[in-house]
Amino acid sequence: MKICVFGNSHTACLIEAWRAVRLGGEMDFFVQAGTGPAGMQLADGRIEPESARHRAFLERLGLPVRLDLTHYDALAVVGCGISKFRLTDVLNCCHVLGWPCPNPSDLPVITEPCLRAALSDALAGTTGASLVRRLRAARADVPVFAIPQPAPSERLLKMRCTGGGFRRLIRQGLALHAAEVFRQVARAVCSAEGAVFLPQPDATMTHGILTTGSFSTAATRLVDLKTPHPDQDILHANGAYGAVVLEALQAALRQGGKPCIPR
Amino acid sequence: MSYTDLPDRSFWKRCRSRPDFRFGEIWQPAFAIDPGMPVSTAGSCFAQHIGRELRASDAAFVDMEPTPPGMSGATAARFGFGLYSARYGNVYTTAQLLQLAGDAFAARLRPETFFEKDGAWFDGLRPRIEPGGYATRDLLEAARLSHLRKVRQMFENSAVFIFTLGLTERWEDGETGSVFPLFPGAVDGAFARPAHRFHNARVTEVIAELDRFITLVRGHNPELRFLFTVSPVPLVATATGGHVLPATVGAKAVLRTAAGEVQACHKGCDYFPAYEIVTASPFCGDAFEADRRSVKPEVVRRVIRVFLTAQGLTPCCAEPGPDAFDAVCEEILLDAVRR
Repeated sequence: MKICVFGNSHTACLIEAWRAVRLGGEMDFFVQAGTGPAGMQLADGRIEPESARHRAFLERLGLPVRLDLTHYDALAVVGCGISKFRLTDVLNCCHVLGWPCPNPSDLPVITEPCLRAALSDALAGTTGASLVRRLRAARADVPVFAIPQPAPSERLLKMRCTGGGFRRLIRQGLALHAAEVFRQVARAVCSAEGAVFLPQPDATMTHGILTTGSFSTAATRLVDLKTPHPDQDILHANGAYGAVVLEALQAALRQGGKPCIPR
Repeated sequence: MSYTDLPDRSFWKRCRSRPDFRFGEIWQPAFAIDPGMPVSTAGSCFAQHIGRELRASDAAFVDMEPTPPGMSGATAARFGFGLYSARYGNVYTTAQLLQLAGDAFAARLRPETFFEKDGAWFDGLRPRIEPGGYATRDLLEAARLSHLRKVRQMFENSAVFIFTLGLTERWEDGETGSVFPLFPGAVDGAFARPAHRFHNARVTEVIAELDRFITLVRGHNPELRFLFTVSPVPLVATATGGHVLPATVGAKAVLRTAAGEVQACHKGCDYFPAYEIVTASPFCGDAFEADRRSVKPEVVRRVIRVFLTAQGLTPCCAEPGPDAFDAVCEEILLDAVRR
């Protein structure tokens, strides 16, 4: 089984895990920091970097700079904007009617269907969704997986300056429901693009919507796959997390992983 | 003062001699909308064009219920976002406007305007706001009250309120006087009630409603200034039983007269001649699309250019494509009723 993974900085944990564990099969990675390899050249099933700089970056990481999609049995997109932050972006500006929490700032109200519609559009507009679309168009006969950016680290519970939306959801007892909304919407969006959404494994989560500290400390930066992210970083997960996700990906492939026809 | 002192723009012949009919001078604003000045909008669907351009200009467009982050323009329109300064949808009549302001300042719910269908609750005053309706009546009430708070804040915090008058024909609840944006039976058959009745407002009523509206809102924001326009878009249908053309011309004449009267009687009120630029421009030629109702995008752009230029506002840099903006007009539902 040969898999090709596309993604942004959140792919680093998978590369780290793959290099450490080497599960069965083969795996290649095509990555770019920031929003991901949105500008990659894709023609006749062949993929190349968008620029000399990107090519040099991949070479520096020891990753292939030219890929032939026909060689792979499955494709995956990691992160690239597919994130629970798209949910909190909305919840930071709006109060959802019917959710059992106060609205002390008198935020404009929306219904949960409206929240879901906004989240759906936001996810469909990410680089991740765009990559899925392009990959699906290039290879209709293999499964394409969409793997979200990990939820932020539980360390944000001790912070004040970032992740307020997540803290609020936990404080209000809405984290599990919000996470379920995200899961359902992301699954629908990915399905519409012809991909299988692979949610963050439950074993890596805490408080319903955060990543457990043990999976989100000492994460490696994509820039050189060596340097750890600073202690304040709450966004990235480590190799242990990557290993759990890789297992989930392999399991999904074993359990079928059939190509999904876009709706 | 005699005719000799008048500017060239005051003479038909001297306007006619210029290819643009001196549209650059067609409007001398009674007050300036300075960059950064909070401006809010409401009105019939043509008003969405003005709101959209103001949003893209350096005026401070007031948006009390902004589009949630990430939501596309098409979805936003389905949920009533991005059309006006709050999610009230189209406000076609002065009666609707007065009612909206009155409800906002009194936090009045008007339960008779709610209706239930297939287990979902709908807001008859904002029929195109929540496509699937509200799960419960309580949620609908909470949504309406929150919306009214935002409308109140909009009136309190705006420096200029722009309103486009669209219709004189209205449907109202005969028992309570509640005014609907359009024929309730066109919104949904489940919403039709025997108490709903048709009324075509006369010019004195429209003037009186605008008077009361201005007085009411200025009671909360004395410095608020008002800019009125009249929609050039013809009626989809008239409920009078008469021909739709004289019904259209009559309605526009009433609205135009009322706007002029209010402008003359109240300080801080102005009228922008969008209606004239579209419908009566000698050189405009054919201002309407093939349906003879929708204003051509280039004519809309001409109207907006006159508006922004006269106000010294900087327009948005990109010219929108022909399909870039499609005004949301629930009035077209009336067509479906007849079919």
